[in-house]
Amino acid sequence: MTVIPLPLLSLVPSSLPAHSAFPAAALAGRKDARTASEVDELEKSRREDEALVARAQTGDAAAFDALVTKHSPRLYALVYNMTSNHDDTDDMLQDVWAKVYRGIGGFRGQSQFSTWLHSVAANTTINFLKKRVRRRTMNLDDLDSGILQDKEFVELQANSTPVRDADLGEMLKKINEAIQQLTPVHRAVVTMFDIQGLPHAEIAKILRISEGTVRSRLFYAHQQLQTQLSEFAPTNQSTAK
Amino acid sequence: MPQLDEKQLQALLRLKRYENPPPGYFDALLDRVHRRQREEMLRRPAWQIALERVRAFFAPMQMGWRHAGAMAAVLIVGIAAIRVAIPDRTAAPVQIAQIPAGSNLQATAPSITLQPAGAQPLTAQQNRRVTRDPDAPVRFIIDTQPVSYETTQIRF
Repeated sequence: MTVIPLPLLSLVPSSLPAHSAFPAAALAGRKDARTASEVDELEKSRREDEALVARAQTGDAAAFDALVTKHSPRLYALVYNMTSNHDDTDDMLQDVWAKVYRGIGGFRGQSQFSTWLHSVAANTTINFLKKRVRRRTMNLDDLDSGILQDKEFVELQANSTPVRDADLGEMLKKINEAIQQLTPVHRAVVTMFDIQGLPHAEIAKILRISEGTVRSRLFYAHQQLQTQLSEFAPTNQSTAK
Repeated sequence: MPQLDEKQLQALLRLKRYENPPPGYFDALLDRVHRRQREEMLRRPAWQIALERVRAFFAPMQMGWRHAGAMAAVLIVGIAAIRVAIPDRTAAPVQIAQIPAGSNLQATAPSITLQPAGAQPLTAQQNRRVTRDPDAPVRFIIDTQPVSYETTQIRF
């Protein structure tokens, strides 16, 4: 597989399903490297966004609808994984698109449209979570059956007796609970890096912080999550298998 | 107690990618976004609508901010020039009513000066200027009221 460095950091194209947004190999080690075909696809997606934004800025409602249709799945994944609540996510998404609709006329293309969009979504959600004093009960989405074919999950099941024995729904609930223990800013970083597979630099642009801050927040959040989810750690016996 | 390493933790977290909203959710979301846009358009304040209309009016002219600013400056200067050129007619009093000198009513009735609404009250010097010249012939103001309310003796 040819791996080339990412020329200009950009987001994963939203045309891909949310769960297959980023190749597992890249997530496992090389965060900031993508294949030539991935880069081509990203470039094509970026050009498509530029054309749609230009049309939307002249008042073309169909172009704006196309942007909503194209980017909503990834925005949903970002907001849902931060809130762990479907209803809140639905409200947030409507807020985000309303803000984007009001602000698209002033968007000058200094960053990519998808970066700006994620920035609006992440900041809206962080502000919402900071204001929400009492944590609402979780309202989780259904699990896709594709999880059973997930290569990494199968590998994890093979190595870890607790994971193999755990009920899938219960396990996801515990993962969500562990994420909810994090502060909103740490949750945002974990969601974008670990779940959505965005590179550090892209997260830094979205949250308008330095890459060093992204890395330190990730380090802290991972420490917390490792403690919270230690029950799924492979025992010596199960690792030996 | 054993802990997950980085790779195992990331593998667990990535399972969240398999949580998906109900089927048809995103189609319904587009409808809700449309409804929200319409609601916001109806709730907009009047100044925003006026600003948008002004922008829409000037948009086809491809006018820059400098050009628009120059036009606004010319408009302001023009309005100011018109105001300066037209004399202010509101300063002069319109009608003056006086009581003749020597009249026995003078002591009791104050002199009345009628001025247009909004005009500045007359200064003492101006008031002196408009009082009657004692050498001028006496003028009487004939009121619209009947001269006398006394019942007449004439019978028809």
